[in-house]
Amino acid sequence: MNITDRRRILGPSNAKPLVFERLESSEQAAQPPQEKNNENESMYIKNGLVSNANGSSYLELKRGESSEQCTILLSSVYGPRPSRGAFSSKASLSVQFKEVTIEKIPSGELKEICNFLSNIFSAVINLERYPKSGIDIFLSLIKNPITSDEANLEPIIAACVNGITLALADAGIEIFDTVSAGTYKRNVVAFSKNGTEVVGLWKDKEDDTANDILSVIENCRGNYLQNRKGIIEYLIRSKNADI
Amino acid sequence: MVYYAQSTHSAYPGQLICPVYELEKGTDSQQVIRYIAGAGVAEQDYELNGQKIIALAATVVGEVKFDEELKEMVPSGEVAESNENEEEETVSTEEERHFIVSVTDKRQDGQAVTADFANNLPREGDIVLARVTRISQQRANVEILAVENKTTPVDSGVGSNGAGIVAAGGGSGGATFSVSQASSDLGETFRGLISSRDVRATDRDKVKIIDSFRPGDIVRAQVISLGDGSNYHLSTARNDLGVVFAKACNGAGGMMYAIDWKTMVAPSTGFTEARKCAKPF
Repeated sequence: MNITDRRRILGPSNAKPLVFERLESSEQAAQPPQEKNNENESMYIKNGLVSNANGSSYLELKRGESSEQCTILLSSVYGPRPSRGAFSSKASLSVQFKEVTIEKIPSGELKEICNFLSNIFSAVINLERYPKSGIDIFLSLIKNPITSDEANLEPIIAACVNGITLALADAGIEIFDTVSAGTYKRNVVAFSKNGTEVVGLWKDKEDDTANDILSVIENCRGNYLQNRKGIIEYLIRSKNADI
Repeated sequence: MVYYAQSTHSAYPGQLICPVYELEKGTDSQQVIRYIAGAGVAEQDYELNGQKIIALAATVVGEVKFDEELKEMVPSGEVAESNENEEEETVSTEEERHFIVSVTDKRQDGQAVTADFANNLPREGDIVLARVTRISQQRANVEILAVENKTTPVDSGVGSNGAGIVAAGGGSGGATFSVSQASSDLGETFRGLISSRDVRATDRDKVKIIDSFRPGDIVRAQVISLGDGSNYHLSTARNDLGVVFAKACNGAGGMMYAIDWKTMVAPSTGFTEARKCAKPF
């Protein structure tokens, strides 16, 4: 280091980098995740934790027994707030996704996730009800399920769809249906109207289901109905507890 | 079983509540019942056994409520008479009843002030309370603080103002408000402007904004259009619209009270200032 870095306050010249003890769990993570689909899946929901947001939801999705296979997502909804600029008779929707701990997902993928989610929810939110305004959804991924490869976005996206629906319901923003997503292998399908309408379909790059889209949808639907039931039960229970 | 008579139940977004039309069959009569989507309810297309139907579904979490919409308000003296008419009409069929279906949060039901501004954004014709932020010769810029909801007469007897215009000061048919929770410091409030031509109904071209509003005044105004991207267009050209609260000496003095439609007085000093006042009673 003969070039002095003037932009940073440097440590003393004899400083050594910190060395941490290796975590034992990293060996377990090296094993390929078991593709036991949707068994032992459990969900923990808590709404309204973000006090300055109009509505928010905290979602923990656990798959199997191990705590590594756990997705934790915090979604918050702000708005409708006035949008500056050109007049629009509908609300505009924006979705921001951020990993708050280690950033594993490349930014191109992040953009794709945001586009996918805003496409779904533009169709689901009653945007005509909120003229001249913008609704902002912020997603914070607190815990990424540790997987061997980093392209496995399917549990995250399913959590995002469920989390946003819960946050919108908490915010009291009008949505046409309790939209939820179901996963099968590397696919996520978001449904509405009790599984009769598909509002979004996500396919991760490397999946082994080939082109059998019908069976994918059928398998996702089962998972969707289970998630939807959990969401609705939570909403009704928390509403009755409030009164 | 008719839908409106069912006991109220909790609803979640997407839950089907009732069809748009229903035929109620009595012993010797039948009646068409029409359900209209109110707050928190939307009409949606559903496919049932290959047949398309339009149904009302909830869009928020809350309790389902059915309110009958009466075509005309009958004064209490004529009720007996109208009953007789109904009996005659039961022989003939095809009477239509209207019900407004709404889903509301019980926490906010029946309160005079609610935080639910999000689902009550200003629309054309709404009455709003706004604070004047800046004035120029042509217009007054305001920020919208609250939207007055549709008034509901709380008592049908003496002193009711009915469903008509409620005076700024309240009255027995007191209005309810949806108050904006946005902070004006962050610039998150909805903005509006009152053009000098919309301050009053007469002598429109002689209006001086400086003699009508001052920054800091609270104004009761009506939304005349959604305006452009940034501003709602408001009007105070009505007797019950105008300044409702103002402080003397550009905010340095105390509260002032309206003594006529264009003058306010500070009771502690006796000074008067020019404003376009809302009729208080």
